[in-house]
Amino acid sequence: MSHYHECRSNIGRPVRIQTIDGKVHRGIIQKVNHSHVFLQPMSPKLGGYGYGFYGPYGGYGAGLGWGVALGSIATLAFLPLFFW
Amino acid sequence: MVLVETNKWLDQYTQKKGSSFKKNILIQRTLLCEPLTDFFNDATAEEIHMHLLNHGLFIPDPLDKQVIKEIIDKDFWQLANQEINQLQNDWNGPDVPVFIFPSNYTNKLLIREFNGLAGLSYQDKIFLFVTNHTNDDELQSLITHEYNHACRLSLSSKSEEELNLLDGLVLEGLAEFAVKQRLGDKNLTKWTNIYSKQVINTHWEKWIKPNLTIKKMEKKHDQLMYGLEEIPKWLGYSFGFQLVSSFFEHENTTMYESLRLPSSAILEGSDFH
Repeated sequence: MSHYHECRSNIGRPVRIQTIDGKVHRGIIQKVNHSHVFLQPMSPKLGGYGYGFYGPYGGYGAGLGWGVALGSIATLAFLPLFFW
Repeated sequence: MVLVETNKWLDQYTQKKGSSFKKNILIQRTLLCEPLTDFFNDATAEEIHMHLLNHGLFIPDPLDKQVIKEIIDKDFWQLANQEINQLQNDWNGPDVPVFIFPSNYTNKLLIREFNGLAGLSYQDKIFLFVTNHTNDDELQSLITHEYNHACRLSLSSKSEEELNLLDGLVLEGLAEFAVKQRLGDKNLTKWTNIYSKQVINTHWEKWIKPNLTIKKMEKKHDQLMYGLEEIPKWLGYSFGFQLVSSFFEHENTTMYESLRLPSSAILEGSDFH
């Protein structure tokens, strides 16, 4: 199956994509067109201790989505739902 | 200690940014978060970006060029460098990279409650979020607080998965008590004195005592630290400060020594056990 079809039939699922240049992307598939798959970020669990301020940005990361060119994908793997 | 030259990254950001918010978010990610992937274990630039935004990083905005220019002109990097060297000496703390970025000055709560100051610390790195209005005292307070975290975390043998609510309370309490010791009461953050002793005692019995062993990774940990719905605002932070203050009232000790004590010993020496 092409990456296009694979993404298209898995909208809403978390995915890990590695592109040819070695870069890793993790996100939820929001939409796909013939050139790109568009991802939304997943709530990261990166820990740390702060100064007292915490304000989840835009609720679920509105406006932080990004596109990955289908032609740049080296590997694509769906992540288990419990991952996020 | 390495004060990373984020002033150069920020300068590049102001040169590359345009008028589209969507594009500016991606430029911010590429220039400020991509280089940070080397400092995290298995985190993507997008995840770091969202995490930093949640903890107070600025959001691209038409005014950010000017804010960044003023922050760079004020040369917070120089003052931060001096301050951290001093703290590192006093506490015999670790060498950690420090990243300074503008804070989200468009967030009313961040401005109102923290005067635009935010931070995020790990055992091996520190993020400081400031505004163009941040003064020297505020920067010193923020650095003292955050570097105290890095020190204690690097001295602790616990992994992030093992840390629990008690560790979080002690971490926050010690960090702000260090601000009190070095810079005095007037530089303390708001959450240090929002509850009376009596109220704190009630919260201890109801919320804190039954949850001391909750792990940091559990959702409830942060709800107890920051407050949510019926959990009082900044509960863990405020309680942590009372806990550590009472410990220092009873024990004749120093910050240097306290940073090296297990959380249970600090609890034991406090009013709450």
